[in-house]
Amino acid sequence: MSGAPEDGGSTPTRSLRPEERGVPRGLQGLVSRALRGGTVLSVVLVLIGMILVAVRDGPSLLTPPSAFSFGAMASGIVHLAPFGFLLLGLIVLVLTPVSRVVISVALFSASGDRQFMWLTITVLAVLILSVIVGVIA
Amino acid sequence: MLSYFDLGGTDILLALALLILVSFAAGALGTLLGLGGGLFMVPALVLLFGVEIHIAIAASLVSVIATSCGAASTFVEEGLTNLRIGMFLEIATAVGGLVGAIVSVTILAAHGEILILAFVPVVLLAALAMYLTRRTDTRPDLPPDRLSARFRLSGSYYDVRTQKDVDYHVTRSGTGLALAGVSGAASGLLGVGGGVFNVPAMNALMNLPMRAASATSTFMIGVTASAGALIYLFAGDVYLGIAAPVSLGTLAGSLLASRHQFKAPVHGLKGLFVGILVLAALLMLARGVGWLG
Repeated sequence: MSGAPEDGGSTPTRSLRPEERGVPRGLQGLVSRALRGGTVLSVVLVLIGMILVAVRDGPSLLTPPSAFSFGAMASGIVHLAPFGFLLLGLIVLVLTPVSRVVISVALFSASGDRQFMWLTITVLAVLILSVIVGVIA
Repeated sequence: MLSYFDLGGTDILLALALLILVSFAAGALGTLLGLGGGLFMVPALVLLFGVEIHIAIAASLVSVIATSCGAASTFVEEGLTNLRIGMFLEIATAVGGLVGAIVSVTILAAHGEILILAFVPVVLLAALAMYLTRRTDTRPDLPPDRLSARFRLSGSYYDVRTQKDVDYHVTRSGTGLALAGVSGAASGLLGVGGGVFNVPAMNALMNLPMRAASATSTFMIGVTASAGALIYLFAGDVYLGIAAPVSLGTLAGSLLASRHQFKAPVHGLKGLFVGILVLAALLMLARGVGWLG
């Protein structure tokens, strides 16, 4: 929270850089890369799952799965079952936005912006609560 | 009524191709308008594919996340997204998303028709908001309000078309925060991204330029939908046969659209969008009261 100028009516010669707007240096690049990385990983896993459907199970994939479990997912991947890869791919996708919240918490606290550190921690807490509620329900 | 689960043989390949195509369109249109495409996905899955509403909502949330991740990486890199506003409003959307999803999978678990009918006013309201704000532009002379000054929400972006930096101040951030909560609840309840509320709230109310508003909304909806999607995932409503092809189609659409967003005629798209929304609302109403299927 260094004294960045609040550009009032005075004649601005150029726009403020992200750092001057209170966005920590490197945050844009890291968030962008995390989103892209999560997306690519998810696509690769889902594609592997779809290819496995084509060569192994066929349309039987489309029958609804039974209750969700991490154990079943892990053993599905070990045994090259399509649902293991599809499920992991979708979980990676769902957790990708969560990962960029984690990155934001780290960079805001590193840059000493307590206000936005607590703000992003609150968002992360709500997301963790969603997982807890989901598992219980 | 065609049901996706009853198909076999080549019919399933056809349905799969159609599903990917519809998701692609939802991802592309959602990205161009900053909406996420859930408003297209849910009616499409229910009406075209005969999918049960809870499963449609869960798949739609996955598609919203795919849109957000695919497009936001580009928008954040280009500096179009206002990260501070996004994270500020996310507090409200994430809480709303969590509450909406809990209500949907518990109290309304056995009442799919209520969810189908609840879709109608939400969609019509969104269409109305879109219509009323179709010509809204930002006012550079407005000063930031106290909350926005305190959280330093004002921002700027480089406009590719005019080759100029566009600076803006943020106003009425308290009301914007409240609307973000509503947007989050609609998201968790109905499987939409909530962008349909975020964009008019940020553009017409908080004074963000349209491009910054839609890029910031695209960034936010991933987290909003995550809160809901996690609940649906553990409730067993994320059906792989639907959600997996939907995620691929949406991602492809959003990636393509995010690269060409600056060329899109945003105002013309809004008109098209309002038309599609009204049609979707009418069809869902007909389905909800039992005239269709």
